[in-house]
Amino acid sequence: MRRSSRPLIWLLALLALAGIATIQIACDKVNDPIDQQRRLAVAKLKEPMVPSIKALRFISLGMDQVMADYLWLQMIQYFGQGNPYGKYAALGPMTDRITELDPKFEYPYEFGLVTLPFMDAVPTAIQIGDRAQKELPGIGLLTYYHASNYHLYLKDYQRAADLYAKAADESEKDGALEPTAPAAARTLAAVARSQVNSTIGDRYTSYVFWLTVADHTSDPESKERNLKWADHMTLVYLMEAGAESYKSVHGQYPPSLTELIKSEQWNSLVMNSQVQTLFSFSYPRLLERGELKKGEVPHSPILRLFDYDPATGKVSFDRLSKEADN
Amino acid sequence: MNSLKKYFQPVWVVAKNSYREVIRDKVLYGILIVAMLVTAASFFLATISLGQDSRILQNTGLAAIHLFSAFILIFVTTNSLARDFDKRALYLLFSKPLRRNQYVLGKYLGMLLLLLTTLLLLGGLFSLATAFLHPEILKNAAISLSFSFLEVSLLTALAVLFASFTAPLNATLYTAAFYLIGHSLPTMKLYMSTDVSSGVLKGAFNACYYLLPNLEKFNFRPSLLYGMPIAGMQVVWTILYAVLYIALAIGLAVQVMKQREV
Repeated sequence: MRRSSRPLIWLLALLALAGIATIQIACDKVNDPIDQQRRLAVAKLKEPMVPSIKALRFISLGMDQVMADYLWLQMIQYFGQGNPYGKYAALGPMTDRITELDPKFEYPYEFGLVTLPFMDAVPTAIQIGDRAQKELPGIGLLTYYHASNYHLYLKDYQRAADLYAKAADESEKDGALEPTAPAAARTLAAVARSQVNSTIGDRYTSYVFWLTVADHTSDPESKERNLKWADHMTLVYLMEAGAESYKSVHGQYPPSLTELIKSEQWNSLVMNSQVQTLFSFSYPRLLERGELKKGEVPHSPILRLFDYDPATGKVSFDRLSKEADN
Repeated sequence: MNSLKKYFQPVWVVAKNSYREVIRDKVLYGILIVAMLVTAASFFLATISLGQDSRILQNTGLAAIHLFSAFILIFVTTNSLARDFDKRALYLLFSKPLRRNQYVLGKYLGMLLLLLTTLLLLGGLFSLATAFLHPEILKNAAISLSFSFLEVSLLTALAVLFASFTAPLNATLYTAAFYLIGHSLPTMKLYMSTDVSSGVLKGAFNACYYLLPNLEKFNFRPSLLYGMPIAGMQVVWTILYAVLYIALAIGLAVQVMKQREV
């Protein structure tokens, strides 16, 4: 290196350092406080190590309950520390290990069945729910949560309906084990069953289910709500049966519900004595409320919107009507 | 009756003196203080358990008492016997009308007195604090500590056996190893049945399973925690198991002592 070029190199090095410092200052100014908070949380986040069940059993030296307690304490600290990513990846394995180490420890089941689906760990939640059914039979609330996971996340309405009904049975019997399922379990069983029947098109079965639920309900308000569901299912049955009847005459399903209601097939179906006998409970109620008036599309007693599909002739009712919004 | 009294008089003297000797040991106080702190920590853990305080208190507190009692007894027993060998106390003892089996039995009884003191002290403090917070635990604690007494009695007998023929550190390690094995046997059996296909290995393990001390037999804590019934016969078999194993270990220790030149 030539002696004359040395000052230039020093100058360039100083300039580079000044540049680095300037960029750093600029970067710090760009980061807003929320971002800094997030970065701090990421830095502080400690994902717990969850050993295998085999390892835990050997470490615990027979004190499986103590090990389960330790993991439980660790899990609530982990859950309570906050997670910048919003999902707690270790929650599933931790709940699994706790309930496997101590299958009679009830609270982690409750916690896991409610929390795990939100952590994208539905299979673990189902696995834990199945374990709860085996290890802690008769606890209505656990069965209820298990049912809701089948209902909301797996969309297995049949299994959900069975479990809701089981939860209701477990909770309503004398000497029911605590914690019991909410009073809505039987209603939800019928809702899930209706969804099954909606898939297979069995509206009559749903109607009967709702009547059964109403029979089991002592609260007058809830009872009336369940009976309205039965009335609603009667209307759905009539519309779908009417659409089939329309197709047998015209070769295609009616283009809309209005067209169906105006048709001869609808009128003869509504007047059919066999149908009236089949729905002998709801028929007089619907007539009294004027829902089977000639030429008018009936309103759902439970304020649902009748979505008619002219391609299949099926009626769905997932959305609430405008009346319900008001 | 008279001969029984005559036999047990020197045994009692050895037991009393062994107890006096170990109870004055400063190391024991150190361990006891740590045990008390750990047991007290279970009260703190209970407060951060999200509504599971009774359970955590029962599990952690009783487990701590059990572990520390076992630790104290293994450590103290092996050292106490080694001291008698090292300080030539045995020369003095055996010059008196004292048989070797009386010495071993006396020593063992002295250690049992220490175990009783430890359990009463730690269990008493735990119960005193629990009585105000969760009195429903007390009955479970009493039953659990009784079975801890049985289990640690068995371990103490093993410690006496090992201390009779080897250095105190080795004896401590051997007894600790038996503690680990004794509590791992059911877990190993569980995985043996699923993970191991070799018939020879399974046979060897089964032999170990039935011959080595299965300390999980004394673990009634899960049943107590969940209020599950404990069969009377199970308790009887457990007590018989402990008595038989203790008799075997002490009997062997006596034989070893007879062979030793003291």
